[in-house]
Amino acid sequence: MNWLHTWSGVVLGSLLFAIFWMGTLSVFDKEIDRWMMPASRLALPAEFSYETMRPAYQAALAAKSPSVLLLVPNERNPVITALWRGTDGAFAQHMFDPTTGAELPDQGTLGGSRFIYPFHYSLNLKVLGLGYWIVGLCGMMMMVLCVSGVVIHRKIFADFFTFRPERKMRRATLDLHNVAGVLGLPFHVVISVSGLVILFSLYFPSSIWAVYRQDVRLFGREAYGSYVRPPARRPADLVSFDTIVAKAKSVWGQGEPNYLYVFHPGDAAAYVQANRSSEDVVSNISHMAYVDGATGELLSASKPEKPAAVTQRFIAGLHFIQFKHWTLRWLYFVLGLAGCVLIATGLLFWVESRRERHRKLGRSGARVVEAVTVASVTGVLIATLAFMVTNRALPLGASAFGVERGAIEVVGFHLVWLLTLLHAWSSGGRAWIGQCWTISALAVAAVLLNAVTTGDHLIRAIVHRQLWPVAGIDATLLIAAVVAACAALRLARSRRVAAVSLQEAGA
Amino acid sequence: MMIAMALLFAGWSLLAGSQPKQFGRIVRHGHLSKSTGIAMRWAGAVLLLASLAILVQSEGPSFGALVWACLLSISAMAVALILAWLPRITPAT
Repeated sequence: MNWLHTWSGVVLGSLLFAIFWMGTLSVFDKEIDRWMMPASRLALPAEFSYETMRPAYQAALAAKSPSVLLLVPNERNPVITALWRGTDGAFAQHMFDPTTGAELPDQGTLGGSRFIYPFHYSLNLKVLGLGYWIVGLCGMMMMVLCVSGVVIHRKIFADFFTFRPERKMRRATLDLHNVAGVLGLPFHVVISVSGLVILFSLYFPSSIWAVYRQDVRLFGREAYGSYVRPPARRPADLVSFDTIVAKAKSVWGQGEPNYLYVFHPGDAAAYVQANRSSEDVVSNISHMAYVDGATGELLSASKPEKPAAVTQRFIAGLHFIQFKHWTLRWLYFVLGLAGCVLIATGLLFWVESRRERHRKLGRSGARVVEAVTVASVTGVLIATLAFMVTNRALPLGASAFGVERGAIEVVGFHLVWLLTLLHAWSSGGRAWIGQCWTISALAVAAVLLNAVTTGDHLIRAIVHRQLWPVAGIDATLLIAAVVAACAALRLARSRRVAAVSLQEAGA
Repeated sequence: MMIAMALLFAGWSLLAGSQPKQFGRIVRHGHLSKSTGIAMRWAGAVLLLASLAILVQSEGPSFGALVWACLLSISAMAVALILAWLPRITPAT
């Protein structure tokens, strides 16, 4: 068990850290979007008319898209977001003002919800869906690590609260690993299991195949009550969005929709899928209603789900946190950070307990793992901050070497990440200190750049309600800067102490 | 919510204090008798459960239980961290 825990941890720890870190940030993905897309920092209108979505629909119609997804503005995402397939066949996202319906200028960024969040579940590796499988493997290993970790932890109750920062680095690291692991165990287990359950159709395709054979759509109809019909190839106008929503609400009773999905826009057989938002329950349950686009009549509504689907949606809801509950959102964020601490200290312990031995034996194992650990812990933090700094430093509509603004940010992220690995390899044990200072500097730079380029400095952001997401991110960045600086100072001090005692020993 | 957090914190502190090793950290040269330890343990457990009852009542069964489970972990970590730095803050008596 010890062997299993050690080696699966070392091999997949770096990836697990990146997944946990991006997942922790994804808790606030919409807030990161607001930070990175200044034009979308808008106040919600007091009375929202669904007809405000008409210009967005017309734009999709003009682009001859076969369907258009319209996201209803809400507290966290106060703009009308429309997704449709452009004339070049690629999906594009557009934002519209929730009060006037006018299109907002393209912000040229993938932001939190299209870079950080997909990174969490697919590593943004699209080749053969490889990213999903790697993340799935890491999820499985996380469960193996949780179970084997509990088994090998000999004094689980005696050491329940034990953390001794004053002891040697190696002992303190192990203590912190145990505290973060044991006390956060329920969260770590639930979050890995629910992550796997969300993508069950990908990881266990045989479960659907065994019952429905090739007809995946039939599974969709039976499990989630989806509805499909072909276009009529006759032009027709879409009835008012307010009518459609009123019709859908007649099925649900209470509750607003969170999106309207228009199929075959401009066609006589157009139909709209309206989904009730599930922000008042834990379960990520979907109540769908299908309304005829030309007549405004109800076509179909999802039936109450069966127990298996209800269970799956509840577990998914636990992971997705799409509900409206700010306390829980912050608690998830803190527990996510505890998960990051758990993985980082695990890797660090491996290095600390082998460094001296490997140096004496002339083996490179500990050095390689240390460099990879530095790059995957502080490195991914630096890369994320560089992503945010690039976002604020580049002007709107910028491009270089034919690469668009959004892609430059992504290239910047990966380039900086690679640089941190090179730095970690070349500077050995001192890398932690240098990279902690870099985190501190970049976090302050991000806050300053945001204030300079948008004028929404921290004080202004706290005063205006619609700027609270920006205030939250700025404040978190400043706290991160202080913590990173403290860590750098502490590491530098213990290094000096170690150097002095080494000299004395030599003399 | 605040009351529940305070209860959780107190509950974990009692549970931590009921361990002879941690008791020695909190009270210098203190000796923990067996019966006091058991009493503290029970009181701690009762406080943890009481916070669950409060949260379920104020947040509803599903949100309440979820908030409780999250806070349970976080407050325990807070107790562990405070215990770690406590001996340096309080002057040795």
